Amino acid sequence: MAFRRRPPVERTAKGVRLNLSDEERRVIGWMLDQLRDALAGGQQSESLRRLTPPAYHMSGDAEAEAEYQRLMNEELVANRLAAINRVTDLLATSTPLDDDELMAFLQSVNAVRVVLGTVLDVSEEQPDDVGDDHPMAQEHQLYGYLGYLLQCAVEAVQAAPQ
Amino acid sequence: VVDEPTSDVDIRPDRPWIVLVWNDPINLMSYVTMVFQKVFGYSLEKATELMLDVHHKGRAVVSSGPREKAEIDVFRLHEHSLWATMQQDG
Repeated sequence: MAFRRRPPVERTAKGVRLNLSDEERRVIGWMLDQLRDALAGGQQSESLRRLTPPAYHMSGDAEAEAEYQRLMNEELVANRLAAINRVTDLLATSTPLDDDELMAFLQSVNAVRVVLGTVLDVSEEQPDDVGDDHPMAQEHQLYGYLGYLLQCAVEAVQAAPQ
Repeated sequence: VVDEPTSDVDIRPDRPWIVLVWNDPINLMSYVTMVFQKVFGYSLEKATELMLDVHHKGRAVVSSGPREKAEIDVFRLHEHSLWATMQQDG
């Protein structure tokens, strides 16, 4: 495994840099493409529904919930697609990110991780490393990688000058 | 003659709405803290305290107010993929 000299997301004096290899950019872009296609195509699955959870679930108000979904769901998906497209463009350049672009990166990468984590049915008790013989070992490795990426992106947010 | 109310459901419109965030095993604790700071403008200390409530108690009330404000707060939390719901307080 290649030694990483710098964190994958890093705040510098010129903005936030994505220190990602071509392979990392390709893999992240591929995952974002998958999510974009699923959202744009209106796919319905438990993992995708996790991105549009019910607002009134606990109040049991079905009418209010239907109204919320009618008014908000379309905008929620549209905003998410806009953020994904923005990040896809950013992955193709080496230009430093501004704070809005960093937030789009965080939201998009986290959305992919939430969907993947739901598919993998991860739990807090589950070990981080499932072992190479696990039938979904690659997906678990991707899930772990996305967590590392997000943690570095959060640290870049927190490192912003006050 | 005025009928006595028969329902025990409190429908007073002045009761505030509360926004709850529920624990989930996926979102990073640091990410949840950051979202609370960004969405609500909370200090790091308050955002961390709320995140720990979510993590240890299963949920936390993160904001309250009129229904319209609660809907906007829930929407912004959903934009960040947090599991948020709203309900009337009490």
